Amino acid sequence: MLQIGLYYKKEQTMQNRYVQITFALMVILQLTIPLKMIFDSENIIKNGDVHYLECMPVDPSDPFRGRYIDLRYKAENQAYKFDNWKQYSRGDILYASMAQNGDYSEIVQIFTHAPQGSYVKIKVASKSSNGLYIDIPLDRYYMEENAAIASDTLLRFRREGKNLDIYAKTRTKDGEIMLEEVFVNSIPVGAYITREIQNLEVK
Amino acid sequence: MSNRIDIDELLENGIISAEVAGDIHHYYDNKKSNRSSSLLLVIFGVLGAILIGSGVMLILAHNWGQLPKLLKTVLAFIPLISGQLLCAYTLKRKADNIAWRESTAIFLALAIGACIALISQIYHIEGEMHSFLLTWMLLALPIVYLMRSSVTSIFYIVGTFYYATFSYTSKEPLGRFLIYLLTMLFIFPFYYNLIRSKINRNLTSIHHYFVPFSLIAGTVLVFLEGGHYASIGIISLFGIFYMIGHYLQATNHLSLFKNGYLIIGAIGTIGMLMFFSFEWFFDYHSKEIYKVDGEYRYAILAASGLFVAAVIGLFAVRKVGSYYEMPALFGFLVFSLLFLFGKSVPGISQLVINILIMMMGVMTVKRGIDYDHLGILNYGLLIITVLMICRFFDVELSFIIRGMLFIAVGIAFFATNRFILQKRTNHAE
Repeated sequence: MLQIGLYYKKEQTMQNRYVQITFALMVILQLTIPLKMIFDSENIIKNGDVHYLECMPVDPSDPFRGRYIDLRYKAENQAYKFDNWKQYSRGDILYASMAQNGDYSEIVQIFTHAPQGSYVKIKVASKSSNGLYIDIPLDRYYMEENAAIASDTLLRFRREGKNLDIYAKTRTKDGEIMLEEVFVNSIPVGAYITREIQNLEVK
Repeated sequence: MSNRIDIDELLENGIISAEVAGDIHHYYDNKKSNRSSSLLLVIFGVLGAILIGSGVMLILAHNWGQLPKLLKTVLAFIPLISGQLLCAYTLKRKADNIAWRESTAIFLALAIGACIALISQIYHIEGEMHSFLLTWMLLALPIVYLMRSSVTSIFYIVGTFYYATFSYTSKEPLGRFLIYLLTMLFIFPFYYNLIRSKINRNLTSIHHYFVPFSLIAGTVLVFLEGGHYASIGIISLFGIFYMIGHYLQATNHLSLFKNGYLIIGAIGTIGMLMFFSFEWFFDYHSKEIYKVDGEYRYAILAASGLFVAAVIGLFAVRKVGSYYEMPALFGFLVFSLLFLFGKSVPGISQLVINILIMMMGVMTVKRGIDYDHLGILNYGLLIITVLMICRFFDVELSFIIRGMLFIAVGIAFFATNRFILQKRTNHAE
């Protein structure tokens, strides 16, 4: 029977040339994947177009999952129509061209192929008679331990009628979108929450 | 143990002296205790590696928010690079030490996932869970072969199975399932070598459970959308597992509870036959017109492939088969033929299935008696009992007859168990 693998050939230690080469290739591959992720992200952050997306108030659905804030965008709250939109369904990939309108950016048009200019690759979230609802692939802002506090605080402020201007600073390049920061009233969300907690403690 | 029987025989016939016989016994006793102690070392080594890795991550997580991005990025690579250095050291200095190999290998495998997950968090990168899993498992695969790590192999099998579960909700379930099958194929050479070289190791036995479970669950998930022909594919797969288990038992003397293929194959086959033994199934089957277009074609193709593979398997195991196994081995074939050609005679089809199950139960009882195995004996009686209970639901029987049947089976339980125990007592005397 054919002996498959490195098992029965030469001694399987670092003295074996095949083991050395294979080990080196494995290390290179294991390091390449995360390094590529970093390189691609940094490339978008440095060279991508800036878009400020208005966020809808957060609603933490899982009280035990305090590692990130759920993000929803105003652009995801409206239905979109275009030629042959009815043939698309949940999970289908489309392309949304974006342009600035006032303080924030908005989705101008949905395309079935990558258009010219600044655009984002999106997915269809759901379909109704009004059109397609889309999902922008930036659902989480990781905040580790403060995320649960942040979510609860922002939600409570909204219920109390406090004026909250929540928006995300993003970068787009070749259809990919990166999240740089989430702001509340022009202050980074982490700093805003820390300040509000301190204010509450003082009171 | 067969070695001890041979040693005693050699001693009796004056081939070896008492002193040599004692040395041989002493050698095998040490080997057994070394195996148990090295297994303990492996278990504790792996646990230690996981705890250390988790502890480091928790400490970092506490102050994570305050760290600058560059430092976070560097820290994310530390577990990965540490794992790679540890594995390199193990291969250089501790290549024959199983505990070192297993613990450093699983540490590195976990560190790969931790690194990718941390980078995703630092850069707020959205990703699909199934892509993350596939990437992680494929990056961990070389560790299995380089470090000869059974624990990492089991981890890989679990990870690829988790990937397969996403095929059910995917828009292209068949494509994702085929990728899953390919990932299972990648681990096959290691698994094959494991069987060939270390048939009785506990980690090998764990593979014998994880591999068939993963394959059957992954297949069921993708078949759920495939229509009723999927039942042929699934019962054929259980049949294939039973044949593999039967072959392993006959040729490698694998003990019953270490033979995951035999147990999963037997229980799966019996379970499916019990399900199809009900009146409602063949009534429904005789009236239903099954779709064969669209995505059902793939399910039919896959089911046909599995059926053909199982039939080929029958030819392969026929020489090592005993007549006890015949009903179980042919279970998938009987059901598939009834499913395809028994539509117009649902009553007869149901009767044949019930007779087949009864035969499996009786043959198992007889095997238990002949092999002096209480577990097999009672398993056979359990099959008959469950069959009887199932028939109570769809066959009109008076309470008296039901009562008498229960009493009969109860007496059979007592009588057969007592018979075996009596036989053992007589032998001992």
